Amino acid sequence: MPIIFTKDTLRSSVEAATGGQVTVLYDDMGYPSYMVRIPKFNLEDIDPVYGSGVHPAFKTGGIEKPEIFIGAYQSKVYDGRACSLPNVDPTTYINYDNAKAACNAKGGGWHLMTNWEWAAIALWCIKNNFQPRGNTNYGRSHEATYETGRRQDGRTPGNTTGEARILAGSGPAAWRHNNTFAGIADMVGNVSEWVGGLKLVDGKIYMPSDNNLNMLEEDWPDTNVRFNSSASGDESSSGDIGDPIISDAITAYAGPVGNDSNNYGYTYITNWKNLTKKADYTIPSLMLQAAIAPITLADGTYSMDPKGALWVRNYGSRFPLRGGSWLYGSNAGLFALYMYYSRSSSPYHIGFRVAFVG
Amino acid sequence: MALPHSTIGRHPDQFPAIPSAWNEKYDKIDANFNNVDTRLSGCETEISEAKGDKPTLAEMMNYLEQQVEGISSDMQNTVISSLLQAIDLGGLANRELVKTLSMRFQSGTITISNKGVITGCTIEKSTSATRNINLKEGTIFVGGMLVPISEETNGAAIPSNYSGLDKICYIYLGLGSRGWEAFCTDLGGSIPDNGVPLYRITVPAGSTEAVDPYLENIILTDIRRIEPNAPKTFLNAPFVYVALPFNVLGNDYSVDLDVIDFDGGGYQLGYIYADERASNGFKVCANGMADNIEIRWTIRKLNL
Repeated sequence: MPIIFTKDTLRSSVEAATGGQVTVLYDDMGYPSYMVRIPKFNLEDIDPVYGSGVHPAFKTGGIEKPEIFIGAYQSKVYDGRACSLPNVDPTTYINYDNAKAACNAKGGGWHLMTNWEWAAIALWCIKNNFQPRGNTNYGRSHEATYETGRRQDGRTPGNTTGEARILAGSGPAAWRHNNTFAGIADMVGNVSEWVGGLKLVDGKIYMPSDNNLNMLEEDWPDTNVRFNSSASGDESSSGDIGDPIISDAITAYAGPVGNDSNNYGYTYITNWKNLTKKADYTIPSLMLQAAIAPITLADGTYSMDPKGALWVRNYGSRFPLRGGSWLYGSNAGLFALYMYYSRSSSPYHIGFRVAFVG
Repeated sequence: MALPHSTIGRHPDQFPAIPSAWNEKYDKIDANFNNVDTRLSGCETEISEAKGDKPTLAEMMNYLEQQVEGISSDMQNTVISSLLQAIDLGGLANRELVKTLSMRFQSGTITISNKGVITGCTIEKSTSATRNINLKEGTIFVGGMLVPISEETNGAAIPSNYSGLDKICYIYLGLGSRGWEAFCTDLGGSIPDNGVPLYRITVPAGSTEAVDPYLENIILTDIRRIEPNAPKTFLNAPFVYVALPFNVLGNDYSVDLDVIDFDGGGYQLGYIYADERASNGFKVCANGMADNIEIRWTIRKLNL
């Protein structure tokens, strides 16, 4: 009996054009999504300081997966389903739960891209001596203003009026994670992306120890790692009150404990790589693997400086954003981490990305 | 027909004459005349009507004679013969019409199911929970999607068989409240349309919770459709065999396939084709990833 080559001209053409790095997967509505395959890799192949074995992004509840699929594009929601499609205006004004629901609704294996997955890609990029640029300055890169995308509002790149999102993937190859058009587009800039599998509750970091998509949020373990604040918020300031400090204890809160609002202060550093730790504190390797803490805190070095800022509100429940948006400038970056908003926040510059694990 | 006054009688010879006696006679005479006149007029009218549009009765008679000859027995035989021939032709036309509707054109609908296992999804008998099975993790394809399946310990339960005969049930994957999970049919039950078949279970007579709690006596038969390289390639294309309601002379008939509905993306439909045509049926095959493909088939063979 001869092999039957299944006919799917869209998937076949995408795979042929990208050497199989990008494929097309379908959801319960039959909607296609362009997905980038990220094959598993070992931590020690990135840097022994991370430990050894397969990166946790490629394990779900301890079971290794050969690959994960990341949306090549920031998601657009159709009929309640998050789709990864080129040249569409990504969905914004969406809160964490709705972003997650739009991913989960697609069927088994579909999910909001997790912090584990983001971290794996970020570590892989920096190991390959490449960090993508992106729409970090109103339709263009703040570092290379000649690099532009097609703004959804039709305005000129650099024009600071309007909502300067670009159509997904309409920037140059340098805005993709591997510097080719077969890479993941717009991880840096354009819209900040909710990522799953991580939350900060009154400064305590909760996350599964690997990419366990089946673990309910209420079951995420307390990692015993904390974000402390260099100063206590006086509850009268809504601005930057100091620096975040990674620690095993909290001595100062930037705002009222248990308060999920965005009305009080936050801690912020312009470069995530400059995060400091409590004296003599040994950073758990999970924090390094999850790109929550830089390896410099574990006496590691980077071959190039990881880019992006860090914002933390160590009070209330905070859900992470990655990458930064079009108006972030140098605050945006592959390692930017924004643990600033509550799960119900849905500002204009926030979007998300769908992922799949089979 | 008699006159009103068949006998009027002589006028009496008397003098002087009595007028009333005369008048009585004259009245009878007049009545007779009137009677004759009435009858004559009636006769003339009848003759006139009998002539019809002919000038004379003779011509009318000739005409009638010709008509009577037209319904002679020979003519009647000729007419009946013609009628029978017409009925035969009508019957032939009707038979051809029936043949056209039932044989030259035959139609129906089928549904091609295209679901199976890419990796894993094996089952084992539980050693800790009564009549439960353990499901291993894996990946399936269903509805045009790839779906990961999580490991499930002490999942679907195998029904007890209290009868004196061996019974069959099936383990399949279905969409439950927690996502895709393992289910077991009732004894003698069948897998639902959207279920992914995994194993056929032979439950021996008398295999119950009490005597066989860990399913030592049941027989698992693997019925997974394994396609390790889906969605790129299939080892076996899904198909449905269509048995024709009426045999066709030869296998050189045309098959039209009209896709009514399917699960999956438009590009996943691939193409649908007829294969292995025989006088009594043919296969409809699919080579895409779409699932639950509902197809209206129509065969044509006009030279029957």
